[in-house]
Amino acid sequence: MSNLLGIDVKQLPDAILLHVEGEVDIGTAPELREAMIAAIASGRHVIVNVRDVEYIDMAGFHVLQTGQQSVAGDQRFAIIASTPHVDRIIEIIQFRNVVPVLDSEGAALDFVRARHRSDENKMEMP
Amino acid sequence: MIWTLSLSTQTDPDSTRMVRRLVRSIVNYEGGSEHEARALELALGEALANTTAHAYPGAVGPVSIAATFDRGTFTFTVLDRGETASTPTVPQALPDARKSLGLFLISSLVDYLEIKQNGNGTGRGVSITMIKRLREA
Repeated sequence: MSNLLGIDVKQLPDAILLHVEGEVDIGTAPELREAMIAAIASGRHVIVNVRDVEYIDMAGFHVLQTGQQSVAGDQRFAIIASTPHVDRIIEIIQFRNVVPVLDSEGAALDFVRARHRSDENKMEMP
Repeated sequence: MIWTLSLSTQTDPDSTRMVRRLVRSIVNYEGGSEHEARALELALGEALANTTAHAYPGAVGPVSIAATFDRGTFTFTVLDRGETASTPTVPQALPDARKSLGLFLISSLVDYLEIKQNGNGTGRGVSITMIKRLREA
């Protein structure tokens, strides 16, 4: 792990939360990808919190898009983002159409767990 | 205030990271807001990432950056020396296939974006020119 990127892994019985800090760019995005793919391989829901990243570019968003594409079955994927510089990119590239974006850990956990609390399999994107 | 700055570097991640951080500092120094500084840092970062991916795929190559500041307006030009079959085009709207998102993002962050092939007159290379006027200074 480089000193440019920090990833704190929080294990819950049904979900894994990756809290990302630092800079996600073409040099560090592979580290995020590796941690995210390992979390997805657990079979649990995966939430990536990029609220505290200092910098994230398209290399980082491409990794997050890969996360959404990699979950299967009842497993769900979401990201947490609520800072102006990250939200701005999300709006420009319309990332909410690609990956569920929530503004807090609680909201993200509610989202990924919602399918199991409901008989409905059709969830609306937040 | 009017000044120019020229940098020669390479497309490895450490070098491109230093360039974008420098750009952010320069924008702050010239009175740009944090919003504007981050926007130009991201625009330069994406331009350099584009150069890395298309001019020197799988390799590291030389790149030069020219910066001009003229009474509140920044002009940045990123110039590579790679072989490119065709000049990348800037999507005017969000691409359906989500390709060229980096260029689309740059175009949304700056006032003017131009991409030219053979920008250095040597028959090789692509130049990416970005212009942004500070509004929040």
